[in-house]
Amino acid sequence: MKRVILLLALALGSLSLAQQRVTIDFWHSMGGVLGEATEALVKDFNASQNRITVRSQFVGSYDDGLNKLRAALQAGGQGRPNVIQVYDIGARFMADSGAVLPLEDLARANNFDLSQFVAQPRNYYSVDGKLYGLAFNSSNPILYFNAQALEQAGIPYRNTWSLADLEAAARKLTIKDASGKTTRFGLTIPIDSWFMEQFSYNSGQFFCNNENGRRARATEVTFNNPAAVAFLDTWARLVREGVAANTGRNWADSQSLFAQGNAAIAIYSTASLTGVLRQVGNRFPLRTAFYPYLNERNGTAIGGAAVYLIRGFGEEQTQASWEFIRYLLRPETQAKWIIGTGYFPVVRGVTELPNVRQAYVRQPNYTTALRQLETSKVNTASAGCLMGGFTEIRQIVQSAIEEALRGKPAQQALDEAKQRADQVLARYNASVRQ
Amino acid sequence: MSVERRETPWIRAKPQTRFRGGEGLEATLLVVPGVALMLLFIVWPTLNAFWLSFHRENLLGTSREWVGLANYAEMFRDPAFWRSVGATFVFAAIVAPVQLVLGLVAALMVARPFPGVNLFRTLFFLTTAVPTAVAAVAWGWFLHPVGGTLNRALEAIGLSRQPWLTSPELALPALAVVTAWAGVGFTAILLTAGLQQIPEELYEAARIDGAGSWTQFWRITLPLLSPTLFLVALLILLSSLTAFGQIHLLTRGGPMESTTVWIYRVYQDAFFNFRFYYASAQAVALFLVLLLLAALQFRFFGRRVHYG
Repeated sequence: MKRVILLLALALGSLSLAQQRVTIDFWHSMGGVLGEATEALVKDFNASQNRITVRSQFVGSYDDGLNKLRAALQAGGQGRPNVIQVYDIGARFMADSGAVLPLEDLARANNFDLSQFVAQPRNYYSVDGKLYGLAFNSSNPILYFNAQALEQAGIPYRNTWSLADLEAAARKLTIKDASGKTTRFGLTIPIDSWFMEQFSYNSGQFFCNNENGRRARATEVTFNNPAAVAFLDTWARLVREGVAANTGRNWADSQSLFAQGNAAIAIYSTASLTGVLRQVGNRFPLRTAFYPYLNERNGTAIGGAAVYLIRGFGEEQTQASWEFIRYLLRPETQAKWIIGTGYFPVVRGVTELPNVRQAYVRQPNYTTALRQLETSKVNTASAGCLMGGFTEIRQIVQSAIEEALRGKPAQQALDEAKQRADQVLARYNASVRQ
Repeated sequence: MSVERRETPWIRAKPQTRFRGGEGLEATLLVVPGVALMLLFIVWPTLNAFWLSFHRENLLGTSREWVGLANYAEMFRDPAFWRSVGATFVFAAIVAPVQLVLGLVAALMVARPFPGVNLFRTLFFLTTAVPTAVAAVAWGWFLHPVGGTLNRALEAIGLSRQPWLTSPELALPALAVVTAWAGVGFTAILLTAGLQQIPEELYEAARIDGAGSWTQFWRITLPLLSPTLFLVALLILLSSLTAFGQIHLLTRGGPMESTTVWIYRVYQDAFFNFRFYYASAQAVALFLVLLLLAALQFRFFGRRVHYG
């Protein structure tokens, strides 16, 4: 009898405990291995305490997530998440939407020292001087080398490459048969606006006006800057001469080419490293290096995505969301995340942790992104361009790249694309005022 | 009796049965869920698109203002829109004949029973049974600009490799072939059903009169198959005007927007560029074109088909 009462009391106790738990919704766009790592963080958080339950949901691509958020906000906020992951280029949109509770406000209210943040991610997600989102998964573009091909061609490995050096190496690494057909390409770059953006930043140039939209709202794009033109011009020339492969917009098509040893140098994201290493297997040793630049290396901006807190929840829910964010910011959590994914940490002191050091020793290629970040100059160029309508503008840039690869002069292709992109930006800015 | 059986089931005359007694209620109950789903997922969104196309929204779509026909006016002035319309019709003009001819060949091959016919029927239908995403990934490998099977095969016979999906000239035709391939199985099934409706006696009589198989095809098979062919052609045309998955997976509208067909433009403007109102105007225009095409086809071609 006593035992039954005890059990009953226990059951009731756990029931009331469960009722006290605050549930918050977290929408993310991490699929595959990254999704598993994200779910593991959520599970750990839920197990680490008994007051808050984070209900995570994979909502498809970043665009899908934004569309779902829009739909929820249109329905009067019904079903909107407490926390949502949104891609890098959505930063201006999220701040303009008025739907976000700036992270900086919460951090200050909770006496969280903002200087703990690594500079670049903090700069990237700051809009009008205020930090809005927490950089969750941050990446950089880097160079990928087939080290065996490099050695055979007698090219010494370096970690910094100017565009001219890269071009010379690519030419040397290209192998053509008697008929002039390329059997191994020197270089492969997926057609993606991101590489044009990053080349601008890394050469100290801006992708949009008002210093990348950091001094004031961007009103014009500047992707026809000298660095971007030189990059596209070189890229297009190499494609036309059979030195660089044109595998289209699909990154996977470029990666399979590189992994099979049919292209000696490639440009991808640091986030591609795990996948590329797996594809390459034992075929050849792989080395990574910093992203190229035109004359002097400035620094790349971060890419990836951030998590944002959505406004309009009660005190209890908001505090619970902050607890979750606070958990994500803990060095041990960051360590777990970066070891599992290849992204880099957003708070200081993570790389000194023993398990992170060991991981970097085991696979030194992972340190390239981190060292690139650490050695980047911190300025408005490396903060990255902040503007609305970025998704649409990227499409326009990608079309311009495709035109240039077919023979249109790079300057002309980018000048024409600028006309279209400026219209998109003007329309976006008008919709903000509306 | 025999006349009725010859009619293809989907172009049957008006139903002649009337509900008697308690059947009315039962029928209503049976129909309600289907109609409700249609209203909810087809009729309402369509009306909503019409309504939205006369508005302009703010950033989050939380407030909108009436702008009348401004979105349509913008659409008519937008060169990107007209490019997408052009691409759509080029696409359909390749898909429809390729799919119809391949489907007919496949159907003729498997219409009459022979040993192993079911294996071939299954093989042909497989192209339709394979999900678009899986097929697109496989085609992506097959058409890879450098290491793809097709290009390796071309090189093996001394030809040079082609940028199937990465050149603006080839990407749209390549996608059209992929689309036609995916639809061959479905087309073949419909045409096989049509072929099996043709009475065997006609062929017998023709053979007795000394007609060869070529004559039989032109004088019996094709005329009697025409209602089915007409229906299938219409279905192919309509489905090719709204082809999406393979384009999204293989080219995302590129290179140089050469594969940004009408429906893909709508998708990009709505879910990428967050211009739902403008996308709605384009979607409504596409809807009207599809409606018009269906009506035109029934009006002009509908009379000429042979109903046996």
